[in-house]
Amino acid sequence: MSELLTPESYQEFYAECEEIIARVSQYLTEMDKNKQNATLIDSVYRDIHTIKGSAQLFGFSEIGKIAHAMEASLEPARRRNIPLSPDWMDCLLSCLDLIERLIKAKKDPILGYKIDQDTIYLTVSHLIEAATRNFKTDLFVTKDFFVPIETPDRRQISQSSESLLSDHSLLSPETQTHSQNSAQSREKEETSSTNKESASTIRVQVTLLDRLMNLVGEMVLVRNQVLQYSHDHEDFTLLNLSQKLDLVTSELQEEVMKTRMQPIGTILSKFTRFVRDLARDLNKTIEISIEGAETELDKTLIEAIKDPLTHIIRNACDHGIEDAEERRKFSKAPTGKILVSSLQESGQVVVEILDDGRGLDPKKLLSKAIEKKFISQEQAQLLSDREIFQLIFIPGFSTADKVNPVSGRGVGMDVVKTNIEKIGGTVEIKSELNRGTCIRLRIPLTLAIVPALIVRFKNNRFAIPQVKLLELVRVDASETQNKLEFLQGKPVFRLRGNLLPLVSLDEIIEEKSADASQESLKRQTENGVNIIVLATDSGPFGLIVDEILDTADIVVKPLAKFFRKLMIYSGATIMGDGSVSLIFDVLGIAAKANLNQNRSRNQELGTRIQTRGSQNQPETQEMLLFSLKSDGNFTIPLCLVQRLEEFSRQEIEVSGRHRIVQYRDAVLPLISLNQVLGFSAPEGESPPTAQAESEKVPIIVIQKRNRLYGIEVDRIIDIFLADREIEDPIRETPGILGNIILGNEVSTVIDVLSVIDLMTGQVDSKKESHAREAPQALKELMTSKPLRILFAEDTIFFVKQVSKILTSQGHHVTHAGDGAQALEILEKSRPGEFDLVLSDIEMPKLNGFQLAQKIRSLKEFSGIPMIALTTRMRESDIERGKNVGFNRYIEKLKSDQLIEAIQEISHERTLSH
Amino acid sequence: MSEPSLTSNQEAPKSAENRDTVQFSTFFVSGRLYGIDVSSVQEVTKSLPITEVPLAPNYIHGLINLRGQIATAVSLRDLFELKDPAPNEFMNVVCRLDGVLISLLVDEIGDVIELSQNSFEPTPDTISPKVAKFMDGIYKIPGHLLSIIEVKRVLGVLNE
Repeated sequence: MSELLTPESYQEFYAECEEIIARVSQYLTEMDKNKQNATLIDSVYRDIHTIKGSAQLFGFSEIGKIAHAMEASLEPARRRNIPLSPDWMDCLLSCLDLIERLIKAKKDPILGYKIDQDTIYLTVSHLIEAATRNFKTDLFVTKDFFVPIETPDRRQISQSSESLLSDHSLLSPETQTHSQNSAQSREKEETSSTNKESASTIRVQVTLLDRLMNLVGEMVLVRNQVLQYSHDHEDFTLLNLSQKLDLVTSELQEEVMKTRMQPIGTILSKFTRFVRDLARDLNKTIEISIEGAETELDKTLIEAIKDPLTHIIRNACDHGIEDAEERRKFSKAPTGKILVSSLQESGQVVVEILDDGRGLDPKKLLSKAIEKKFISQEQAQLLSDREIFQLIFIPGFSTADKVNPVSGRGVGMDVVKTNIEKIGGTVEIKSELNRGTCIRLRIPLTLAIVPALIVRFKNNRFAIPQVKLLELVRVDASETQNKLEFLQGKPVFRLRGNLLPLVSLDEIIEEKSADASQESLKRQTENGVNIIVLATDSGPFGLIVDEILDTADIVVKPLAKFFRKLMIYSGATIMGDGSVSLIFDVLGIAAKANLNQNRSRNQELGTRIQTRGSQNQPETQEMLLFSLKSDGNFTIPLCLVQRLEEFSRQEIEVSGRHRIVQYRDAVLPLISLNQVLGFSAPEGESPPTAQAESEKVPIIVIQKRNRLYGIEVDRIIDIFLADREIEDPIRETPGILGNIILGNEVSTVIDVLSVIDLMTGQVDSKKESHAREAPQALKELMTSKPLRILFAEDTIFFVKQVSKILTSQGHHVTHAGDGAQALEILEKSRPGEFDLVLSDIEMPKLNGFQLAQKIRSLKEFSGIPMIALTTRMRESDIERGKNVGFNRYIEKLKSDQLIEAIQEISHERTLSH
Repeated sequence: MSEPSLTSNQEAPKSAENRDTVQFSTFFVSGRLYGIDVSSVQEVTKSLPITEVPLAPNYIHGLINLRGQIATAVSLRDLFELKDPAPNEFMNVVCRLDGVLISLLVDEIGDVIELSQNSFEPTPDTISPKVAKFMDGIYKIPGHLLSIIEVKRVLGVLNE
């Protein structure tokens, strides 16, 4: 026997034990949740038995004994279905831990793990006590059972353990025979199953797989070269062969990649135990469920996401899930839930960690950020919730009120983000106060091969990883006059109204002075410019290249260390023609261009919001064109659209009278425009056929009052640039704003915000009638005395709509494109030139709040009436609006309310004069 | 080029043998003879296409594809700050150290010679530090002095 015990077989024993321990600890935790489950107990029993058997075979008497005690204690539970008590469960787990530590000690003696006999004795006797209590039968056991046997001889041990079984009447006689019988039958089962296993699987060194992977990488390169060569030569046999080679290589590459794939469950399953222990330490009850454990991921990546995942889950347990008392306050179930799910989605693995805890509190985050001077008070006001959540990724940001040993370790979410980004992944966070938090990790399937964009600059080709790629923009020579501008000598580009800083490779690579690169860039613009829009933490920037060549899957080769100080390269790759190309490090380029220094992350956040929605060509507006079950096309302004989505009919559920879909972990109410506008389907309400079931329904997602609504349409046609005004509808119909000429056709403009109101019953009928019946006297007063209104608004759609309403009421409107412009106009105005200031809140340069503050600080305008007209209808915003000096705070496109407010204000003024 | 023939010299040190002999791969840069310990040389190749690395120091000429592996091409002429005109094509002396592949660009390849430790001397102090910092010492061979380049020192400068 002993000649069989080679070092390799020991290694295998260790590996097997570790696998079993992981499995059993998962089983036990599951049992903890489901209380009674015969199959689970059986599995645990079997696994423990295996450990016992092999430990004795290898002469590890201590392990064997502990396993034996565990097995014996499980026996009655297994046989008589006695429920397991929690303390007994704990004891089983600590025994398991002990075995794990003993194995570690044997495996790496260098580590000098020392487990004294007392600990073993104590742990095991606890188990026995617990089991005895649990089963109310005396199980065993004499103290000397666990007295260590020095210099164990294998045969002696197995003998002694057998004798322990029989002689010392460890178990009652019936149990004993049963256990022996079952043990034998188990053994039989096991051997047959191991035989099957060993026939179909084989243990391979990871280094060997790495080597294989590298070789396949090389082979892909050779393949590429052969392909290139065969395309350049008119040799059909060669072409044929090279195509076969191409196929085989691709397949080989895929298969070899698979050998390195492991189910993500290997690490996820560890979290059941982790959460259980953590919950006990924190005195909370937390349940973790895992979905998609079978999703496969490259082994190195699995290792790489382990720590970030642990951190996120620890955070969720510690900060996210409240204790039972607090949960009761919010009428939540006392048990906190964490869901970890993973799935493969378009070449990436998405791992979501969802908890139903207290969520992130934007206010708390903001005050913390201000306190820590990450952002200023002013900037804070401009951040949307999504951007506020991003704050937690700033190094040094931690919201824990008190530091505790569980999460307060000085590492924060910034480390999670860095680690995930290091492997080419991304982190998203969503949260709702008192509802929970969802953190979504997107991880590439593999690291070795990445999709990249190949570009040319001068005579060199460079690869840009596509993870960071947002979009490609070509500015034609004819447009450059308008579009490419220079700000303090630095090129910038107005991308859909937002200022995009441009980085010229001239300046980065050639280290040309700003002036020189400006010159060469100007020359270049004569032939048109290619801009690659890239993402960085501090917002996007545009890289100007000479030519965009191709996209390709490239094999990343590391560069020598000394290239790192150049900052702008992350590696190199070999192209199809055998030449070497450098891979750009996008963040490095941004750093090199001083993008991060000049615009700190938070300033950038602010400016991004300020410029959002502004349009650079004030005469046009983008319209989304779609069709309904009626002739003609319908349209809504694109500025109102959050996203376009598609759902299959199966995904649509019915809740009460409403149709909903699950969207971004929330319920998205659906509003069918056909229904609202009274268009019925030509085929009637025929029951959906199987074909229709799988059919996709296009949904336009609209945000209103911080809620998302899905507008169901028949088909989305296109986006048009409209340069015509919206004309009044021929007949006043609720939900229809008017008509617009797009191209040569007339399209009906849907008043989508009021459609939402119509459907959700939020139309305040009282108010509406009130407005309609506005006192005749006042109305007359108003129309007889038109007001001169200064209107600050950046979105052209609203400018036109509101101006139309106001002018129809006889008022005179002066328009300002942003807050700063409005202030300028006002400062230059003659006293009394304006009667009223109407302002949007979200505007570039100077936002509505700031504008109001500035105006109120000017003595001559301290009394001028001001109305905020906005979509920001959060309580805090309204409060703030009042504080900074707005007389009224009105939601956009509520023309009745606006007219009413203007009437009131003008009435007040008339009275006071 | 009027560079001296080494074939005759090769025998000399061998006959005046000593048990402690070292083999050197020799080459010429600007007409001067240099040597590198053979054990650190992976291979010698003819001129290969080079991809330049913008922003890199001038002595790094770029990257070359060595059968799927990427080597950094370092011009010894530029590293030694020699001002004489460079030839159109270089030869590559490819060395591997600490997992890094470095290809030293030289003008011409000489023979591999075996030398006795007896003929070794440290680098004289008068040698320009620009070159001396890469040198391990010199070997006196009949008709020539062989300057020994230490790849480790080259890599050290690159990593600076």
